[in-house]
Amino acid sequence: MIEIRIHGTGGQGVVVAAKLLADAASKSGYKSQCFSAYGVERRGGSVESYVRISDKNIAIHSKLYEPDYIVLMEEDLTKNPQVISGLKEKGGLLINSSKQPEYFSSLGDYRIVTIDANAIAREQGLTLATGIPVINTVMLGSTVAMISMVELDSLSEAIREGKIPSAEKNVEAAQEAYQKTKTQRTDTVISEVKEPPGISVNPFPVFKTKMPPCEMGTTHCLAGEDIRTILSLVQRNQFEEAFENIKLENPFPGVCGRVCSHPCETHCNRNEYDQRIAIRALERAVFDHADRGAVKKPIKKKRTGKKVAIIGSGPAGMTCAYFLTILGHDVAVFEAAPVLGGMLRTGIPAYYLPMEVVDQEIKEIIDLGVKVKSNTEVGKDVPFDNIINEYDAWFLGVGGDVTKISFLPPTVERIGSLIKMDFLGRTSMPGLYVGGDAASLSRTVVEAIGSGKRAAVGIDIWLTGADENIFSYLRKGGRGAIGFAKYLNKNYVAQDSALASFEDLNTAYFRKGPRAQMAELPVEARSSNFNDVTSGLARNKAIEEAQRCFQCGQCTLCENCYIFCPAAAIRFDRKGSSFVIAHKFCKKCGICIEECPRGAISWEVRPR
Amino acid sequence: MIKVITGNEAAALGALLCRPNVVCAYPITPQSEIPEKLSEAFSQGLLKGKFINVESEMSAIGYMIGAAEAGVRTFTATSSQGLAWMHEGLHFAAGGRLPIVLVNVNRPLALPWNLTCDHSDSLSQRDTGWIQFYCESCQEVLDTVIQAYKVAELISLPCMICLDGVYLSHVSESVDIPDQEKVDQYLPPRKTILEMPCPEERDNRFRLFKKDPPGLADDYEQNDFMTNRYQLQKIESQCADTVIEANKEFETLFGRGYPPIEEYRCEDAEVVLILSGSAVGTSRDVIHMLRDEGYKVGLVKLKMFRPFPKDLLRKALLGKKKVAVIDRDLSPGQSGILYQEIKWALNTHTQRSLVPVYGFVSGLGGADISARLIRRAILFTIMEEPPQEEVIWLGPIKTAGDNYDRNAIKIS
Repeated sequence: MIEIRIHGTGGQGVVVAAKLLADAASKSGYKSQCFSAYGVERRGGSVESYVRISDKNIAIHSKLYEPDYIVLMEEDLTKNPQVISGLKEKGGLLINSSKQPEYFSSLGDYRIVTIDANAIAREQGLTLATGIPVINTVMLGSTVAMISMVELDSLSEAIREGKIPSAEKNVEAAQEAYQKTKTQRTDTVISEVKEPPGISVNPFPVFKTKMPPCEMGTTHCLAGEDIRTILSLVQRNQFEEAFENIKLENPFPGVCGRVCSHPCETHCNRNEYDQRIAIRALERAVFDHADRGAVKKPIKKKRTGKKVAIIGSGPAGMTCAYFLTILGHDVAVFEAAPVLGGMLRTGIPAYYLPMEVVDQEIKEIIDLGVKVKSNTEVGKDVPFDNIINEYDAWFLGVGGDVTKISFLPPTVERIGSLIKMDFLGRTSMPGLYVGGDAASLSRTVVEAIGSGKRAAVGIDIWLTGADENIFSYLRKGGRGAIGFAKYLNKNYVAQDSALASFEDLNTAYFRKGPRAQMAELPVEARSSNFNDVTSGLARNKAIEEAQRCFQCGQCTLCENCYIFCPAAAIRFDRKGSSFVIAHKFCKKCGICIEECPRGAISWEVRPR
Repeated sequence: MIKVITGNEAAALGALLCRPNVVCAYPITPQSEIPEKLSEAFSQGLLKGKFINVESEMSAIGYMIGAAEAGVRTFTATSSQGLAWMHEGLHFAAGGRLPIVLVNVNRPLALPWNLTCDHSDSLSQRDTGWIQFYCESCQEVLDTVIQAYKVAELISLPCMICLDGVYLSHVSESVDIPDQEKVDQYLPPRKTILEMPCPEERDNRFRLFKKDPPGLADDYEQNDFMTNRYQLQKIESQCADTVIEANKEFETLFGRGYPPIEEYRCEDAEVVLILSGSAVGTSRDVIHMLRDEGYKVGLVKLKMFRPFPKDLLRKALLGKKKVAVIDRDLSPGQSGILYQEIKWALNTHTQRSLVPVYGFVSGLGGADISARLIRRAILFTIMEEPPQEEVIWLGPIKTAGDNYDRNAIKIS
C-alpha cells in the first residue's frame, strides 16, 4: 500500500485532486481510499487531502501519519516545515515550482521532483478569470508519473468522467506534466544533508516584529531614524510627535527632508507593489507642519562637568554637539568661518536648501546651550595644544579638505586623505574623535549626521567610563547607524534581526496609488534666482502619502488575524494593547500568517 | 461496477437501489450529502414517490411513521442532535412495528460542539427497540442498507444503520455497486401487513392500527400494551437468526456478507479484541501484524448491537483468556457501553465464566483510533493484570497536574 498526502490552499482543488487520483487508481485495478482535512472551507485556508492505493482491500480507517509521497501544490508551502512532517525516509516529494529539485535539497533526504505546473496550466489556458492558474490536474499528471503505479490513461479517464469544466484541456495538461516528470529522475535522493531542517520540530505561529527595509535592508536610514514609527505618527496627523521622534535621532529634519540622499527609499517594499513612499518629502513635511510651540524640547541630562571641543560646525560637528549637550556635557564649537553650517551653507545651493532652514536648525542646537566660537580657526587663531589642555575630549568635523588638518600631531594615523577611525569614531589618539567627510568618502549629509551621533555616543562612553560593548546593542541596521534613544534610555536590547521582505506581506489588503509629488517651480521662474524649487507637501497630502506606508513587519492591530482565525485563538493580551496567540486553541493552520497584511506573524520553530 | 464514493454516497446509493417511495430527511453535518443525493434522485425521476422537505428531524420521523404505516417503503437519514430530536418518534416506530430504515451518521452530541465521530448518539437510543447495525467500510454501508430493508420488513421492526461520521461518511473508497436487477431479486416490493406470512403479525390486535376507520389507535388497553411489548421482546430475541438468514441469501447473490458478529483470526486466539465501526478495519491490520510477531490474538467485530447477539458472543468469547473492548462511546459515571453489554453477556449467563474484560475508551469526539493505539491496547491486555477501573483511557488526554485522579489509567 502507498500513502500520499496533498497540501494546498482552499480553491486549488486539493480535495478534487485526491478524489480523481483515487478514481484513477480504481480504474487501474487498485483499491483506493481518499479523504481530506481542512480548518475552514474557503478560498485561502490550508487544505490537506490523503490518498491510499493498494492492490489489496484497504481495511485501515484511521488518519494518515507517515505518507510515502507528499505533493505540494505551491512552492511557498516548503517554508512551513510542518508540510513534510512524517514523510518516510527517501519518500517522494513533488513540488510545484519552476526551480530545479536541487534547490529544495535542504528539506531532507527525499526523492524530490519539481514541475512547473503554473506554466503548464497557463499554456493550456487553465486559468480562473482572475488569471490564477488551475493546477490540480497538472500536479496529478506529475504525481502519477512519480508513483509509477496508476496508469496515465486511467487518470485521463477519471478526469473526463469527473464532471470538471474544460476536461480535455485538463487531460492534455496532465499528460504534458506526466511526460515532463518522466524525464526527471524520480528514484534518487538528491540531498546529502544529514540533519534535515524542520523535520523534528513543531512550528507554531507567533507575533514577531520584523524590521522594515527602510530601517534595516541593504540600504537604510544612516541617521538611524525610526522611519516606520514616524510614518505611523504622520498617518494619524501627529506631526508634533513625529517631529520629536526625528529629533531624538537627527537634529536636522529640515535639512534631511530636502537634501538627504534617502537610502531609506531605495529598497522600500512599496517599490515592488507600485511606487516607493516619499519618505524624504514626508520628513520635510514634518519639519514644515509641526507646530514648534507644541513640540517638547529634548530633555538634557544632568551636567557632567566634562568639556568637549568640536572643531568644525558642519552637519557632523553640529550633530555631535547636539547629542553631547543632551548627554550633559559642556560643548564648544570652533568654526573658522564667520557663520555656522559648514558644507550645508557653502556646498549646497540655496534652491535645494534655503539658508533659513539651516539657520533655524542650527539655532535650535545652539539654544540647547552649545558655546560657539566662530571666526576661530584651530591651529591659527587658537593653538591645538590649548584645546587639548582645556577640554576633556575633542571631535574633528573639519570636512574633506586635508589642508585644514595640518594642526594635528603626526601621531594621528591616516588612510590616504582620510583620518583613520574605528567603529566608535575613535582615532589613534585617545580622546580624539572624528566624523563626517574627514573620515569618509561618502560625502552625504546623512552619513555625516550618523557619524556625528556615533562619535557623540563614543565620547560619552569614554568620558563616563561606560562599557563600550553596549555599543553593539545600539546598532540599527547593518551599516553603522545607531539608536540614540536606545542609549539615552539604557534600552540595551539587540535589534530584531529579521527583515520584513515583500514576500512576507499580503498586499491584497493595500490599495495601489501613486507616490506623492511636490509642486515644482516652472523653469522660467527658476532661471533668475536661487528660490527653493520645490514647495513641500501640504498637510493632508502628507497624511495621505504616509497612509500608503505598509508598516512592514509591525502589528498595527488591524484585527485581520482575529477575524480570520478559525479557532478563535487570537486574543488581546492582558493589557489590551497587543494581540497574542493562545496556543492551546491554535490549529497551526497558518491562516493568520497568510492573512497578516504586514508580515508581523511568523512561524516559530521549536524542537519537540 | 466499481466506483470510488464516500460513505454518505454509499448510503444514498444503497437506499436508491431499494426504491423507497417516501424519503424525508433534514440535513445535518455530517449527513447532509445523503438527502442531497436522494432528493436529486427523486427530481430526476429515478425514484417514484416523494422527497419531503421538512423543518426538523422531529417532523421527518413523523412523516416516516405515517408513510410506513400506510404501507410504503421509507428512508431517512440523520445524525447526532437530529437523532436525539427524533427520540420520541423512535419509540413510536418500534412499538408500532414499522419497518423504517434510518441511516445515522455517528457524531457526538454537544457540548462541547463536535462534528466528527463517536457512537454515543446512536447508543443512547439503545432502548428504543430499533435494530442497530454498525458498519466498517463504505461497501458495508451500501450492502447493509439493502439487508436492513430485508430484515426490517421480514420481522416488522425499524432498523438503524450507523456509519462513522467523517471516518466513513467523508472517506471515499472503492465500492462495488450491485446491479438493480439483483437487488430487486433480493428485495421484492414491500408486503403490507396483511400479506405477511406470520399469523401473529396478521393479527391486528398487536398493531396500533384500526381498520375502520383507519387510523392510529388511542384507546389501547393496558393488557394490550404488555402484549405488544411481549411480542417485541420475542421477535427481537429471534432477530439474530433472521439477520443471519438474510445475510446468507445476500452472500449467495452478491458474493459478500456481514454476519451479526464476525470472528477474525480467533481460532486459537488467547486474547480477543472486540469493537465496532470503522476502527474494525484498522484493527484487522493490527491483529495481522501482532500475529506475525507471534502473539495469539484475534478480533471480533460487533456489527449488530441491538438486539444484542449475546449467544453468538458467548460462543465466540467463552474460553478465551482475556477480552479487550474498545468503546467509541461513554456512559458517564459507568463505563463504555459495549463494555457493559459484553461483560454482562459473559458473566450473567447460567454458565458463569470468569473471562476478564478490559474496557478501553477511545476515539471520542472524532479522536483518531490509530493502529498505534489499538496495538498498545492489545499489548496492555496481554501484559497487565485486569485493572480495578472500568475505564482505561486510550488516547491523548490533557490532565496535567490533577492529583486526585492519579489512579486513572491513561494510555496514549
